[in-house]
Amino acid sequence: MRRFSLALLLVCLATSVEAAIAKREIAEGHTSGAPTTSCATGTFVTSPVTGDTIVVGVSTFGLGITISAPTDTQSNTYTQIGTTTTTANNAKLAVYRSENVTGGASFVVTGHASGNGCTAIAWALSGAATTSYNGDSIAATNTGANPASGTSTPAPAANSFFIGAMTNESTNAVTAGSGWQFETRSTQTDNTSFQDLFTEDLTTGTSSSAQNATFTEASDTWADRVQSFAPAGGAATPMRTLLGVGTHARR
Amino acid sequence: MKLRRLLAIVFVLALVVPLSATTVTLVPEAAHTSIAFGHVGDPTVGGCSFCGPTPVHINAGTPANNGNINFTIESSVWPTTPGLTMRVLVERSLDGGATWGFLLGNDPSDPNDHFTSNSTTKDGTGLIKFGTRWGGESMDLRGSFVVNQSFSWGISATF
Repeated sequence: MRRFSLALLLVCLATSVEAAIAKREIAEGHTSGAPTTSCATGTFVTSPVTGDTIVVGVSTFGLGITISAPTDTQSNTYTQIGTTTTTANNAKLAVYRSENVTGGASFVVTGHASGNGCTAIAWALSGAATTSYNGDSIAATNTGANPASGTSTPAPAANSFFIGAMTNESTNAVTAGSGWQFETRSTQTDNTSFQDLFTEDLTTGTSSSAQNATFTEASDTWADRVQSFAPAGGAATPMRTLLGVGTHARR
Repeated sequence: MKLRRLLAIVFVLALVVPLSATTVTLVPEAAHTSIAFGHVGDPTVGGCSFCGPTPVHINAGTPANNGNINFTIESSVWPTTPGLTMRVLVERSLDGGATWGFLLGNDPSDPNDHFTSNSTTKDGTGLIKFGTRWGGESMDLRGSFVVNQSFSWGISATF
């Protein structure tokens, strides 16, 4: 019995070693007024620390307008996840990451677009793996009221952290899909001045189930991306991205 | 503190009508040069509801418009007059003014980043609009609106 208890204790300890990813803070900013080319997110309330992962979503709009890599006040380098998604009427969405960042106080992330203003949202994550990202992305097109990135493969590592980002062309009210925690709805009451950017997240726990970033809204034209982040020390399951573009009747 | 009272009213309204945004005029449109607020020595400006040396205090609470605060530069000449520039910097303090961090405006790490005039915007007005979203925590604000020359401009805010 004592041997069994010891074995059980070791199993419990082994399970708890796999630390979950903690969402440290989110910051957001948006501008409109060409040729405005930056959208600073504001200072994180809780400063990112060295080793964190920063994820940045950027949306803008307009034919020929491009999104480029974010910058921050600590001079970290950001890499785009997949490619920029453009809807039928030129709303654009891009997501970037920077792993093992240099942290510090007064940490501000700035998104960049070639004009027409932009919206940027930044997440600071602690405990995310820094080596298992592989950049896989899967694109899908959907028609319907509710944006959905689609479900990615392969299955993630246990305790993975997922981020969903979506931009649209309407002023529709938007909520998170089932199981997701809604984080930001940047400007849903003023999408004529700003480009919307909605975000949500969830943690898989021990289920290791793949996720579909779904949002709830009426008919719209939208772009939607989901990205997972494995916990540091977790199974060597590749990170992956999933991207969907949907079109529907405009308002 | 006219603005403090105004914001208090805004936040009460936000609790009662959580999805309706409220727009207030912070600086009436008139010929202005640069305006700063919340720093020692800042002057008051005629009609400006927050100008002067005292930082603007925001009480804790959830504003309307889903936590967004959006500013618009009101100007009859900005969209059609080339060569005008404005750099916006609004900082916030969460510890009563001991430390300050960037809240909204142009890229704080790039001193050359500013808004420029004579441009088009998504809504067709050509006016500057910028904003951010916060979690409703209590904070103090200070900031500056730096223009390259005097022209007719003002500021409105939507909460």
